[in-house]
Amino acid sequence: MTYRHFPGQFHGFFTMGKLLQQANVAVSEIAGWLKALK
Amino acid sequence: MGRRQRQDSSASTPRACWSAATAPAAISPLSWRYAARDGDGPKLAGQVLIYPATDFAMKHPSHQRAGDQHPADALRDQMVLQPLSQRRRRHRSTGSASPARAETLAGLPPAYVLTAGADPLRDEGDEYAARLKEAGVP
Repeated sequence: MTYRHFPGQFHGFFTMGKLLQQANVAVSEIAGWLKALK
Repeated sequence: MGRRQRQDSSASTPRACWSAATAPAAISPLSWRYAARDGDGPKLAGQVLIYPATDFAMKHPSHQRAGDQHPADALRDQMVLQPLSQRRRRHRSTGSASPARAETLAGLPPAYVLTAGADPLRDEGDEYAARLKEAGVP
């Protein structure tokens, strides 16, 4: 189980990559996790 | 909110991964576990839960943080709390709609759980992640 918390972020930030760099960080990390799935 | 399935055609066998946010996030992997057991549902390679809503009772403290002046409050109330309240009313008679009420989470596919600090769903997402870990979900 992989758990990731983004302290200062609000609901919906994940889809706001043009404005919030943290959204791009989240997408990149999830992409890496998906690629590592067996 | 958003939901996507990924089909990896390059793998030797078709694989699907569930990714979703808010209300549908945790529900489907849980319901598909039963479907897969009965032989008529997809076998998931993984589940990505983005600020999942797991408990429609909405009793966790992050739902009612007194004095919270976060600028996203109005949007949050409009986009999250109101739809969730409607969903909660719809599912009031069936506690099974809340993944947090499942007796066990064992046997669920590998999970990635994301929560956000200034989100009313923070506490129930954190709690669900802890339960997945306790249940031995990889």
